[in-house]
Parts: sequence; structure tokens; C-alpha cells
Amino acid sequence: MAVQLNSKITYIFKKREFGIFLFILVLLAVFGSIEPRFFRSDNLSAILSSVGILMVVGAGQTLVIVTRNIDLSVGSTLGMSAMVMGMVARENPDFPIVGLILVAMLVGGICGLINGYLVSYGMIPSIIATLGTLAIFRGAIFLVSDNVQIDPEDVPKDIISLATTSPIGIPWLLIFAFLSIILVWYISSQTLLGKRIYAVGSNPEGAVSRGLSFNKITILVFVFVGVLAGLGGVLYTARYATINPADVARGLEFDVISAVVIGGTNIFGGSGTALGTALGCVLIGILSNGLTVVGVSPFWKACATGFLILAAVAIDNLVRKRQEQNFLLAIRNQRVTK
Amino acid sequence: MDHQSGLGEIVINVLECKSLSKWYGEAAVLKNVDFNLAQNEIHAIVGENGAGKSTLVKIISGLVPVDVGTIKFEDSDRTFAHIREIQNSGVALIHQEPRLFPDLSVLENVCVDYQVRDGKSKRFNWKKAEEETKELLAQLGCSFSVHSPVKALSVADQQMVDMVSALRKKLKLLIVDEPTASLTPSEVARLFATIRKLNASGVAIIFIGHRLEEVLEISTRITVLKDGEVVAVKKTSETTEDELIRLMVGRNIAASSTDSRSSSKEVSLKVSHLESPGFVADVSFEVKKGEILGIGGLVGAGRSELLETVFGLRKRTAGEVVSSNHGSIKTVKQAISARVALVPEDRAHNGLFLNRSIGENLVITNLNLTSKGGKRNFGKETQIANELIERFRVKLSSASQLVRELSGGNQQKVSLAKWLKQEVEILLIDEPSRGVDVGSKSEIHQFLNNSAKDGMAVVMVSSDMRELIELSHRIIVMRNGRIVGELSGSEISEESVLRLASGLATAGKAN
Repeated sequence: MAVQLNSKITYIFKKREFGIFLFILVLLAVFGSIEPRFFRSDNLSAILSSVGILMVVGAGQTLVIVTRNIDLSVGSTLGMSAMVMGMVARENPDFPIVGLILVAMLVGGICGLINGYLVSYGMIPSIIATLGTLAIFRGAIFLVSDNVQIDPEDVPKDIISLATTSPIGIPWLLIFAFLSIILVWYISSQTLLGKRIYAVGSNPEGAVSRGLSFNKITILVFVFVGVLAGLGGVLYTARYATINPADVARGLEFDVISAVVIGGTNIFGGSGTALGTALGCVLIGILSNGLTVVGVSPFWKACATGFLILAAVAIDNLVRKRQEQNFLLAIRNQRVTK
Repeated sequence: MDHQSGLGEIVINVLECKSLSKWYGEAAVLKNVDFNLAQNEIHAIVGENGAGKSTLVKIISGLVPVDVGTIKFEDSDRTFAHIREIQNSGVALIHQEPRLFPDLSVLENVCVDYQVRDGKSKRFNWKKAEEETKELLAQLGCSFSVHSPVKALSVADQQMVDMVSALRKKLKLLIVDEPTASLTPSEVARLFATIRKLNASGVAIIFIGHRLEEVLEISTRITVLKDGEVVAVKKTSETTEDELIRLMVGRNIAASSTDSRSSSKEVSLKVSHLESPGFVADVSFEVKKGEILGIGGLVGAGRSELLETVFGLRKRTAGEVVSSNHGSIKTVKQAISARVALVPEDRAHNGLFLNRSIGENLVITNLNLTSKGGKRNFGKETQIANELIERFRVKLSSASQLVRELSGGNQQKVSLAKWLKQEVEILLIDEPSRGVDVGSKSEIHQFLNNSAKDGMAVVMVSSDMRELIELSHRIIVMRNGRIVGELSGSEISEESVLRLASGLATAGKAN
């Protein structure tokens, strides 16, 4: 009986991801039939590049949201990392590319560390703390760069080629994206650390009474999303080659959080999967590109994403409610048969 | 007071607490408490709510720091040890409500705080952990899958998961804080068997309980706390329930009156063919004015859901609820204006605003009396709050104290008292004394009896068999959402209720 219950649940959970997958296929069909240019290879690779950047940051954001927190500052963190890396590259043209990537990740990690401390030891709710640092980091980008943008000729060719060249047929940018998703999948499903992250989100008080270090885990997930946002900064630079202090990754947090929530991560913590987030990123990427390609005005584009989030969460709530009811029924029946 | 003298033999203590004191604000919760625990004993701590039992075990398990005093565990000083250090040395505390992670599976819950030792391999061996967990669960007589999410388990099963998490480490001291509050009798039996088995294998046990008959059954020694002080340490075999109650309360408790079981003929509330999918199936009953109608049944029989459906909180698909004075009731709003009150089981989530003051909680149901044209009258609010506090003898430092800081019994009193001014005609009360100490319990019982005498109709759900039998004029028993029998007068007995609840007897043939 218990086994049956269990397989039923996994079935429903899988259905959620399957649902997103189906919706992606529908979107592809609709956009493709309205505007055949949608399927041209340059457009597809543009979609993949933006999806890749979303995935890298979204992978980190998933774990943050799982712990009942949220990081609104990911766009500014990404911008800050990209800007610092760009400036290092501009001043030192011979700086090794691996070094540049590490610099970006380090800057992102420091931003994450600040967020983590504010939320854990500072006891500031993450939505407030990161709203603050969203503005602070954005301001810092101007201060650090003196409001001078990084031009394509200042960016090393090796960085730019991350978006196009590859060792195995797919660009580095996508490899990084997949690796981030796989890393989060591995952490969340295979390691004790992952289980602790989910435990903290599932029942924070319980976590403390079981001796889990609540503050350490909180800081860790914020540093993690920061480091990944730093990596995102590298990929952003690879894709756009220009880093403008005013609009580098501005508003990225909206797309990232949308993707994570659409992907099924519970905003109240405790559950969420890397695969769901990956699919959510693909969905957001296709939607935003497709609407532009078929000529929908930017205003409607923003609305469409908004509607999608609301629909995803509303459907999720319905499913969850029904699921819970079925669950209780099944348990009651189990008791009777006992 | 020499705690060992009673045993008349030399005992090696695993735990020695000397003159522990703890203050919350200006209120002393523990005063100079000495507490010793031998390895081979099951040591019960009893006392009214607010006596300091939970605080004491929280200090022992490292959840709360002590202000004054020393704690020695296995000859090493643990007074200021970190919770993780204490847990790793083999101390586990199982709370009233299991502290688990609902989204994680049983296995993950058990392993989540596991420390990888020996530094051999950093990778956690899930296969091995699964086997060990399965084995432990089997030993405790549990049959659920290690992969099912914990939120799908019953409270009793969740407690077992909590227990297994503790057992995974090398356990030396197990503290169970009021574990039986929401368990059925067979689940209690399973729990006690587990506790005895652990004790026999060398785990010292501290047991906190409100149901004295259970305390007497399981323990070997009993410490009685009153107002943060130890008033007695007794060998279980040398004490009685009456003596314990006297020690705990320090005053004689009026026995619940079972005499005047006359209720009027006038029907106050009539429920017919009520349905709520999955929980309540074709339920019909009547309550008369001045009657206490008990609803018996096992946990999960749909009793709480029935009350919620009657009150309009839960969606109903069929049936009717009619108050004889105010007509049909469909929504919560209608229920309240028909002078129906619901005191829910889960005080913390449904019954009270934990983060607001006692005064505000008492006034919230009485705003119609204390406000005029939407404007609050603070003078009147204070007056009403104080009156209610006095009438219910709520223990507090001031009316502006947060409800969260009160003990369970006092919270329940607030939860009840707030309805007192509203001339409630029909009171729906769910588990009136769950997690409530003996003193408060008797006060709550008196209140229910007196209210019924004054003409209130009371529908009471209770898993406490004694409470159900002593208070109810009539008992209906539910099973799987249906009413399976009705008992009144001499038919009422613990056995007859149990037989109906567990499906051993059919309706009308309980005896």
C-alpha cells in the first residue's frame, strides 16, 4: 500500500515537469507557425544563450528559495562581477582566462556572502536585505566603473568565444549551464548537505532543534547563488561583449525568479528541483524571444511573463490541494484495511 | 532532599543537575532545581503547565541555556555545551509535536543531522543508511516505507520517525516531552513498549506526561515540579495518583460533577445528513440546551473535521445545520451570529494570535461590546480583559504579555475565555485539555459543566477517555467519518466507546 502511495506521488511530481515540457512544445509550435524565422539557427542559438545564463543563476536561486529565502540582488551581483572582470581584463590584457572567470566568481561570492550575513546573523528578512543590496550593488557598479562601459575590444577574445566555440559541439556557455543544473541536482538529491538545505526550508525551528546550523546553511546558499551569478557575469560578457553600468543584467532577477517558481519550486521553502528550474528557464527564454520575434510589443511581453507566473502558481496550488486530499483519503483507507 | 535515599541502593547517575535556575524576563521559571538521573530508570517529571517541566528538559538537551547552576552528563561538565555537542554525546529530545521536515522522506529525516565520522569517506552511504533505518523501523513495529514523505504519516508514525532519528546515534539519554497527547491507545502501547525496550538496553529515559495513569504505568521514579521548584521525588511504586495530584496542585481539586446530568428537552442545534468529502459522511445529530454531547472516536475519525464543517469552516457538499433560535447555518459568519463558538484543537494555529497580547486575544471576540461605530474603547477593553483573566485564573505577568509566552493550559484558558462574554449558545470544543495540566484541566471542566448548567449546548471532541466519559451527558462515536453509535446514561463506559471507535461493536450494541 505504502509503495503504491509513493509511486503515485512521484508520478504527480513528474507530471508537473512534464506539463512544463508540453507547454514548451506548444510555444515552439505556435511561434514557429506564426513566424518561420523563429526556427532559424541564429535565433535558436540566441535563445539558448539567454536560457544558459538564466539557468546558471536559476540553479543557485533554486536552493535559496528552497530555504524559504529569495535573492533579489542576482542581477546586480551578475553586473558587478561582469564589470570587475571586464575592468581587470581591460587593465591586464594578458590575464589568463581561467583567472578572469575566478575573479568574477569571487566577486559574486563576496556579494552573496554579504547577503548571507545580513539574512542569517543580521536577521533581516531576505526579501528586504536583498532589495537593499540590489540597489547597493547596482550603485557600486557605477562607482567602481566610474560610469565607463567596457567595450567589446576590451574583452578578451577567449571570453567572447565561450558563447560560440566548444570542445564537444555545444558552446561553453551551455556546458556551464548544464553543469550548474547537474551540480544542484547532485547536491539536492545525493548529498546530506542538500537534505539539510531542504530541511531548513521545510521546518526552520525543527532544523535548529536537530542541531543543524541554520545560519551556516543560509550563508552557504547565498554564497552559492552569488558565485553562480559571478559565473553568469562571465557568460553575459561572452554573449554581449559590452558591459554597460546602467543596464547590465538589469531586471534579470525577475526572469530568474519567474523561471524557478514556474519550475515548481515552492516559494514557501522545502521543495523544488533542478530539472524544474531548467525547464522553467527554457520556457521563459522561449517566451521572451518568441514574443519579440513574432512582433509583440514589449509591454505585452512583460504582461505575458507575469500571467505565466500567476497561472503556474495557481495551477500548482490546485494540484497540491487535490493531491493533499487524495493523500488523506489514501491514508484513511490504509487505516481501515489495517 | 536526598534523591537517592528513596531507592535504598547505590546508583550511578548519568545526569546530575545542581541548583538550576532560569528566568524569562522577570519571571523565574526554574528555581534551584536539583535533578539526578540514573541510567536504569524511566524518570517521569510531572507538574502543572508552567511548572517548568519543558524548560528543564530544554535546558538538559541544550535547546535553551541555563542562567544559574551546573549540569553534569557522564562525568563531564555540560552546562554551557552547544546543542550539537550535547546531541552527539547521545542525548535526544522528542517534543510534544514531532520536529520533523514534512517535505523530506522518512529516510532523509532520519539521516539529515548525521555526522560523517572517522573522515574515511566524505560520501554519505545512502544504501547503508536505508538498511539501518528499515531495521530500526521494523524493530519499533512500523510498517511505512522509508521513502514516503513525512507529511503523509500520522502523528504517531511521525513520532516513531523522530524516535528512529534519535536511535541512529548512540543514544544514552532519551527525553520524551508529552508524547502521548495525540495518540490512540494502541499507539501509546507501541510507544511505551519502545521506551521500555530502550531502557532495558541501557538508555536512561526522562518522561514528561500529563496523563497520570500513563506516568504511573511507565515510570520508575517521579519528580514533581510546582512553580519551578522540585516539591517531591517519589518512587513510582510508593505513590498514588491522588498523592501526585495533591503535590502538583497544592490544593484539592473539585471532582467533576457527574450528578446533575439532566438537560432540557429543548433542541439547540440540529445537524442532518452532513457531508464533507473525505472526512464527514452522512452525519446527523442533535444537541439539547444544557447538554454536553461528547464525540468519541480514534484520531483521524473525522471528529475535528465534523466540528469545522458544522461551524462552516470546511466545505460541505450536503446536509443542513440548523440552530433552533437562529435558523440555518452555512457560513462562519452565520455561525457566529447564531452564537456558535468553535474552540479548535490546534490553539497555536487556529485558536489564538500567538504574537499578540493576552488582552488583545481576549478582546478580539468582544469588539462588538468594546467599540462603538468602529472606534475602539481601550478602557472598556482593559476592563473586559481583566475580568476574563480573573475569572479564568490565567497565570500571567500582565495583560500585555504575548500569548506565545503562556503555557499550554493558560493558552487554552485564554482561548475559552474570549467567548465568555458573547452569550454563546452552542460551544463546539475540540480536545479541551490537550496539552493542559491537571489544575487547568479541572478548571476547564468546571467551566464546561457550569456553562451547560446555564443552558449552553456543548459539543465536545475528546481523545481523553476519562474526560469524555465524565463530562458528556451523551456520547456519539465516529469512525471513518460516520457516526457508528450513540451512548447515553449507563451505556457510557470506556470499553463501550472503544469498541465502537475501533469497529469491534456495531451501533446500538456496544455492551
